[in-house]
Amino acid sequence: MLLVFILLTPLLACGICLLAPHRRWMELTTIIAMALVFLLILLVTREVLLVGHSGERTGWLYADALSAVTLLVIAFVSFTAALASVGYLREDMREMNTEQGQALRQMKRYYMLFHLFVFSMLIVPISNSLGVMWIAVEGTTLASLFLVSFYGTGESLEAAWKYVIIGSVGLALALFGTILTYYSAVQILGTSYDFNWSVLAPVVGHLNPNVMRLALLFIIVGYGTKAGLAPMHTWLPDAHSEAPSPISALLSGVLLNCAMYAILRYYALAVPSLGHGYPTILLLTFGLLSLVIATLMMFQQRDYKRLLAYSSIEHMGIIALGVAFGGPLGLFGALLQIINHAMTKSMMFFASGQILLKYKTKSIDRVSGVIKIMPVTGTLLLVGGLALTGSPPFSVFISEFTILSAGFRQGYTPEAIAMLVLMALIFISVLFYLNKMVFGKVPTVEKAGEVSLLNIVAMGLSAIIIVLFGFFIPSPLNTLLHQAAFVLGGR
Amino acid sequence: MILIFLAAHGIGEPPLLATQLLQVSGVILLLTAFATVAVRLLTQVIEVYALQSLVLALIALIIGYFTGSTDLYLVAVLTILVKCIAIAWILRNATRRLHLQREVRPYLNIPASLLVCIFLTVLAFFVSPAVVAPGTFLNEPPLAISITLVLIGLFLLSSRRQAVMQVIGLLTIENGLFSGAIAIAYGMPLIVEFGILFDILIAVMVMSLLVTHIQRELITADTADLRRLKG
Repeated sequence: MLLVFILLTPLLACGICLLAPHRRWMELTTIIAMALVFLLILLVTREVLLVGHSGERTGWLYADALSAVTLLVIAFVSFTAALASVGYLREDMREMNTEQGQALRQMKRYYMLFHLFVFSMLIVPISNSLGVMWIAVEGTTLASLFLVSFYGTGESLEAAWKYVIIGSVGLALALFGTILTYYSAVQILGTSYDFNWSVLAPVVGHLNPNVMRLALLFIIVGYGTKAGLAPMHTWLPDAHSEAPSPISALLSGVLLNCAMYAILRYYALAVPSLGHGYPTILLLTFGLLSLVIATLMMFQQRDYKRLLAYSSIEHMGIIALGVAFGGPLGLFGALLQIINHAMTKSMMFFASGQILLKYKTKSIDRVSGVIKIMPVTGTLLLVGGLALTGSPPFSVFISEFTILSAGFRQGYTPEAIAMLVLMALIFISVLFYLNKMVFGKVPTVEKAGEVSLLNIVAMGLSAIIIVLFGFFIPSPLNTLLHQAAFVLGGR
Repeated sequence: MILIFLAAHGIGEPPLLATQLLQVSGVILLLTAFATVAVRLLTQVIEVYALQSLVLALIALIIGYFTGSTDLYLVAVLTILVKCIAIAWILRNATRRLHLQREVRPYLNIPASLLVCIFLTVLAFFVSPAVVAPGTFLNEPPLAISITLVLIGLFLLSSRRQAVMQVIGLLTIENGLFSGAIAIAYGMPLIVEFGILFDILIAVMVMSLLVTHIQRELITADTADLRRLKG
């Protein structure tokens, strides 16, 4: 029942935004709805911790520990993104009269699509059917498309077009993988069976390995396109840099993880019939390639939002490596990395929104002295940058360290060393650019002062988690992550 | 093993008539895929796509008839409604709004494109035995044709600059996957098929709206002009 309410809340909020006569109504609805979703997801997590799952095993909606981890990420980032959206849009449309006409319509479109986007992402982890999950992932593209092209400029339309075409081709491949997966169990379950995770779970060792081998390849390439794994990542920097900043945070912090969740599910499905060797090789290849490409592109980046986008590709690569290294430690590290990356990256995108509103430019060269002009944003930007590159004592350090030690322990020494070297290079380039942006010469024209208070609140919430998780992980979350790693096959 | 499987599902040897009908419609499907590459005007490509979807619906009907699956009848009817009628209508409208740019605008000229497509077909027939596992009602040719459709769709997507043409490329890929799903597993569960069709309908609506925006902002629907974002 809880799961149904989780899905109904954003839909209802979308309806209210459609009818809302004033800007304030939409803002209030958005924040309340996302807070409610957060609350409901906490309840689901509690149920999963107590009983092991939520929802009927035979029903449409079903959540286990792995779903709960993904749900928590969606809940947290959607809530902070709702706060940031209100702050960002108010400031962004300050010159326009948002009480009526064109500007109100534009704002209405933003909030409605925001809720539809969150709705489609929420379906992914709690759908029991593999087919419905695919439909939901395709739905995320369609819902977020006009959020990417929100400003209607040539660049943003180009980004949206690339996003929808590359995303759809990727998902077409994922659909082929899905069909093959269905086919791989036809010999055991008959030609028409309920295409659910819970139906496949008992027979998972008997899937046709030849078909499953091909299916997994298509799944990883297909959903990997949405997850931003190189070399299918080309849509990602464009979409992330052109979208309004709170949407960039949602894309990077949640959407990529939803696609990664799909890959993880299929990984768990394929390993019993295929063994570890083949899935590991696939994930290692795509993971390392993502790290290499992200490193190369980040060194010569001129645009700070694109810099953050490439950093997302890097982190998705690290997560893929964590799963590939495997073992309880590697899987635990990968799941923790999903959470930590989502918190950190969304905070960085909120900060980039503040900077964009203040400096009116996305160019790294034209931004300097942020800490003098916006002390809070500047500090949080620095904290986020250090956390993002894996410096202690922040949360990402813990998960990256776990993944690395899993790599050494499981005998993937060359891969782990390569990962370490690439991470060090990324550390250098990110800190070089951040140092310039945060400190540097204070420009004379800019008026001092923070841009939006709500944005600061959103960033503050993320920052608390980033610092806190660097020192200790709350024991319920720890248990949940261990359960999720168990679902993935780390025993 | 194969015999047990076939007996368990009451399929037996595929009737000769079914095989022949499917072979004929498979060939027509292949021809429509070639036609999407060969024709010069956008409006014609859309009609070819509608025809291709109609053939697909017929295939679903034939397999539905011989396997006694009522689900496939429903899928066939919905395919006609969504693809042949709704999507074709949306695309025609979008093309009308584009005024001047009605040519396909290939990167590669049409004879060369057709040669590439022949190569892709051979490739598909070459790889499909590796995909198909023994024990299904249909044998290799239908799946090979599905894979050909997917490959030709990918080729259209990468060799045509016109934005609407790229949408057609995507739709061709999807038709290929759809026929593949029917060929190897008699289609997916009904609700999934419905969801996929609904998704495609929304996708086409959204994309044609986006094309209109692009046309208005950049005064072009030529994707070769979309190259400002780099690095």
